[in-house]
Formats: sequence, C-alpha cells, structure tokens
Amino acid sequence: MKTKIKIMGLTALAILMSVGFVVGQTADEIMKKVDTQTVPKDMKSMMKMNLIDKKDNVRQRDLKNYRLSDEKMIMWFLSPADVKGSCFLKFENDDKDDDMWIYLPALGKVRRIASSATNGSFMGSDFTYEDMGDRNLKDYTYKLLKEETVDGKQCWVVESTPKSGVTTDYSKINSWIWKDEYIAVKEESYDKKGTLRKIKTVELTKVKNYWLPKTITMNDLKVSHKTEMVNSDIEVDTGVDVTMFDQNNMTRIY
Amino acid sequence: MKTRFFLIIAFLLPTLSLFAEERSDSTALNSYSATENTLRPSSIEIPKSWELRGSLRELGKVFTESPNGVDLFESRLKLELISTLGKNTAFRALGYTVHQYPQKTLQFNLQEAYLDFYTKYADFRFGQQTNAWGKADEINPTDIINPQDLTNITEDKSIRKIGLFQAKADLKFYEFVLTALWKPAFEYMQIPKLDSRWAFFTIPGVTNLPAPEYPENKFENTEWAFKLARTISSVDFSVSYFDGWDNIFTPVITVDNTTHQPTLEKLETHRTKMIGADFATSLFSAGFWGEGAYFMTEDDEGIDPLIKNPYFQFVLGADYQFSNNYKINIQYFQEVVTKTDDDAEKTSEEDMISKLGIGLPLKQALTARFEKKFGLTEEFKFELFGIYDIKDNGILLTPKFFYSPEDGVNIEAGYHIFAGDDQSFWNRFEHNDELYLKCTYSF
Repeated sequence: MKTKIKIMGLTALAILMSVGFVVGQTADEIMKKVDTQTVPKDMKSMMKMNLIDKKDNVRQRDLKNYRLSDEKMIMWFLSPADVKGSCFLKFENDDKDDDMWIYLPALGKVRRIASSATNGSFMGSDFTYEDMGDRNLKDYTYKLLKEETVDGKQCWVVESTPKSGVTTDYSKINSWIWKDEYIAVKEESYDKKGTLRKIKTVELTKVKNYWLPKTITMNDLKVSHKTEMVNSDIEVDTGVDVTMFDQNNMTRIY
Repeated sequence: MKTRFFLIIAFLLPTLSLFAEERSDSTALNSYSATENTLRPSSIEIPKSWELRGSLRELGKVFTESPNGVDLFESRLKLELISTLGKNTAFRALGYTVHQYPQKTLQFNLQEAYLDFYTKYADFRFGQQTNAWGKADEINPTDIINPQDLTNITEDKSIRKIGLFQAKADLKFYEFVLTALWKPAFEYMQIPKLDSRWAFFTIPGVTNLPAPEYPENKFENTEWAFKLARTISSVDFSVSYFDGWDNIFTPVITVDNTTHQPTLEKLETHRTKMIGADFATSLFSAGFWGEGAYFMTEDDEGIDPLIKNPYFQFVLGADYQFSNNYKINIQYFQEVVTKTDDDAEKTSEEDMISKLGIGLPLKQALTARFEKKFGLTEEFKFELFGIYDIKDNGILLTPKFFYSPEDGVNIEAGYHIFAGDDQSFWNRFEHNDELYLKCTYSF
C-alpha cells in the first residue's frame, strides 16, 4: 500500500513537473528558441514565385537562392525576361539595419538599397523585403495568446509587437509556433490601423535534419491577391563558398 | 612598346588558371535554362551553354509645338548573347539594330563584346565594354570611362554609353577590391549637330563642325583608371583615379583682327587627370550617397584661356521609401572652377565647353524623382523626374507613366518639358517639349 502511494505520488509529481515545464515557458522564451533554432550552415534552392489574383491569373517569377546560415542571402533573378540577370544581396545584422544591394544589368553597377525599402514589395509579390527576411528578436515584445492546432501541428500563438523606432509596416504579428520544432507555420500580420492585412502559411519539408519551408503562401486580404513561394531542389550544408555573398560576385555572368 | 605589352598580357593570362577556382555552383545555375520552364514560351534553340536574350523597343516622340511634329520614330532590337564557356570563363556580346524615321537610317551598333575570366583573387574582362562608376544616380562625375551619345539627350543612359575596347582587372585582397582599367581606344562624346534643334551650343558663322582631332596612336596616349573600393560598417566607399583625354572636344577659334569674324580652326582634346571618391550608406532608414571628382586639366595654373581651369564636381543625394510604395530621390550637384581671378573669369571658365564629368553643361543643379507604384503586382508606376538648373534657372521636367500588362512587356508614356531663362541650358530646348511612347518586349 505504501509502495502504491509512493508510485502514485511520484507519477503525480512527474506530471505536475511536465505541465509546470510547459506553463513555465514564456512568450520570450518560446521566441528565443525560435530565433536560435538550428539552421543549415548554408542552403541553396530554386525558387518559383506565383503571383495569383482573385481571377486565378498567374504571373511567375523564378529565382536562384543561396543562403549562408541566417546571416547572408543572395538571389539571382531568372525570369521574367526583363529582370533576368538582376541580383539581390542581403546581409542580416542583429545590431543595426540589414545591408541590402541590388544589381540591375541596365544600370551596370551595384546599388545599395535603403532600409526603408524593406517595406516595399519584393518583385511585385505580396511579400515585402521585410517578409523575406527574419525579424530581429530584440526589436519586438512578445505575448503568449493561446494554443491552437494548425494542420495537425500543436502550436503556441505568440503576438509580436514592434518596439518604438523599429521600421516596419505592421502594428503586430501573430505567429503560430509549432511546439515540436519551434518553427512558425502560420503568421497573421496587422497593419498600422490594427486591421488584419496578411496571412502567411508555411508548408515544411525535412532536408537532412532540418525542417525548411517548401511552400510559403502569403495572402494579402486587402487586395485579394496571394503569392506562393515554392522552393525546390533544396540542398543544405554543401559548403557554399562565403565569397558567393559578395558585391563583386553580383556582376559576374551566370 | 604596345606590341610588347600585348605579348606580356597574352603570356600571363593562361598562367592565371593556377589561381582559378570553380565559381560557386555555376553549373547548377546554368542547368536551369528557360527551356525547362514549361510555363513560358521556349527560347531560340541554341546549345545549352549559350543563351540569347534581348528586347524589341518601339519608340515614338512627337513635338507638341509646331512646326514638324515628329521628332523620332524608332525600332530598336537589342540582342544579347551570353555564354559560360567553362566554369571560370564567360562571354557576352550586346548589340542594337536601330531603324529610325524620319532619318530613314538603319544602323547596327555593337556596344559590348568581351570575355570574362574569374579566379579566386581576381576577375578579368577583356574586350569592348561599358563601365559604370559612381554611387550617384544618373549624374556621375566619376563615370567618365565611357563617353556617351548625347544626340538623344533623353535616351536611357545604358543605351547612351559608347562601348570601347578596354582591359579590366578586379583584384580582391583582404576586403578591398582594386579595379585597374586600361583603355587604348579613345572616343569623343557624341553631341547633336549644330543645325539640329537639339544642338547644345552655337558657334557664330559655323553650321557644321569639322571632324575632331584624335590623339596620335601611341601607347603613351592610351588611358588608365584605377578604383579602390571597400565596405566598412555599412558604408560602401571608393576612391578612383583617371588619366586620359577629355571626351568633349575643345573648339579652337580665332578671330580676324580686321573683320572680327570668328573662325573655327579645329576641334581638339586635352589630357585630363581625375581624382574621385564616392560613398553610399543607409541612415535612419534613408539612403545617402555622395560622389566627387577633381579634374586636373592641362591648364593647371589657370592661365590658358583656351583650356578649362582645373575644376571640381560633386553630387550629394538621398532617397527614402515611404509606406504604400511612395519613393523620393533627391540630389544636389555643383561644379566649382578653381584658379579664377574674378567673377568674369569664373563665368567664362564655367561656360567653356569642356565638361568631362557629368557630360551636361550644368554648373549647379538639383534633381528629384518622385515615384509611386501601384497595382496588384506593381504593374503600374507613376514617376515625376526633374533636373533643375539652379544657377541659370532652367528645368527639364518629365512626368512618366509605366504599365506592364504581361511579364516582359513594358509600356512607358511620358512628356519632356523644357523651360527656363534665356541663359539656361534647358531653355535651348524650350520649343522641343515632346510626348513619347515606348513599348518594350523582353525575351
């Protein structure tokens, strides 16, 4: 009898401890784990962007994308024909605005892009340059709203509110964080007036030991337009040379 | 001497393969060809390592003031042939076939044809090419490597650039890039004829300009340029040096003592050196840049009335993108002529034709560009662009409207408006206000 009570007590204690562990995670802790999620040392992929209007008319953009960890990104535009040969380079900084450059063959030179341009649309899509990159953890305050299931994945719903002085088009962003992997699988972005403006959903795929976005869909509710960004031929940790991410490399012929 | 130089280069180039390294994943990039994209029409059938790109542009410009409403109708076919010949070499050729009315001319212009060779520490480019220097937009004091064709002053700068044979090396060490450029072929800037309604200036008693004199074909008359560039703490900067010829000719005019009639004797050029610098950065979410160049002419003492005194040109600019796709871009330009004794001499020197640097005879100017994109895929854009001549109170103002009904198809309509006081450069074209329409299909 005493043994049974001991076992029951230990079991109850274990359950309480595990519950306590989940309840004990704050929104800040959750987002910190999202931010420090293990990412590939490097990644390359083909990217197809389908711009779809409410009549299902499609415009397509094709890009070749390289990433170095979560620090650097370079993209070559492959289509449409009038932008082919253009190149975009980005260095993501934690302590200051990101550095961005664009190479346009018609200009014949590399041009730095002001950080205010992050609010602009990326290639006419529903993604802004800001949407294409990662947010700086310290630029936002976080609040755990609830728990919800999305596509069979149990998620925390965390509200991110930009701090004063942060350049962004959004007043807040609600993120559905998949509990098992600390990855955002859905986001709702609210404009400066607090109206729900965009919904982003992410379909993941596992490459080696990494969960990576296969399809990201951005739905702009205001204009009834959406963009599907489909990654294919994803390769990770292949030893992409760091010199790939260089202004000089943008002007080479590929 | 020249032959020896070429022999040395020819010997050295193959040895550079010792430093060659595979361009990162170049073959994977090339393996994605347009023919694999079944949603788009297939390209012209050519071997896989080659690619043919181009565009067809139809342009029509009509004057809105009489007489003779038509300025120009032009069909311009741009063909660009690109090949990655191997993992470390590439070839590119770019040419235009242009048919113009009412000139009724058909011309082919090979603007670029060059070979690239890439190594771990250096990139090399050899052949006919254009180079664009300077961080400023559109008006660049340091962008003097290639002359421009200014016979159509409102044409895109990429088309205005005259391709010339050059050898260029970009050498990478630590985080610096040193560009060394050798230009054996000198060419003048092309300007409109004196009897054209687009003429930049008039010379009393002269309706046609003679052919300008060219420097003697000797190695010491070739041109050199260097540029050292680096990025530090989110600031891109570079310093540059040029030693070459002024690509706007200097007219040599004599005046008869008896009749006081001016006679244009010849058109010549003078050796000029340039030291330049530029920077670009982003602060408080806005972009800032600056570009300056000091031109050391042959008249370094400022005593020769026929040669321009040394002068300095600089541009400062900024841009900012607001929410809802509004964008503004502003630049200030000024030229300062040195070694002048008084205002009269200063004015005389400023008015001298030599204008190596930005190319246009402006002394102090403000440029502004306001842009707004709209449409579900930003297929519409409105732009208002202006160059205001502060010194002489003149302006070129161009409202433009862009529309892209399909990917690869662009329609642009605009209105060039010229106005200003009598002495301003833009006032020359006061009666040349014109509407234009451009339709471009890219493939």
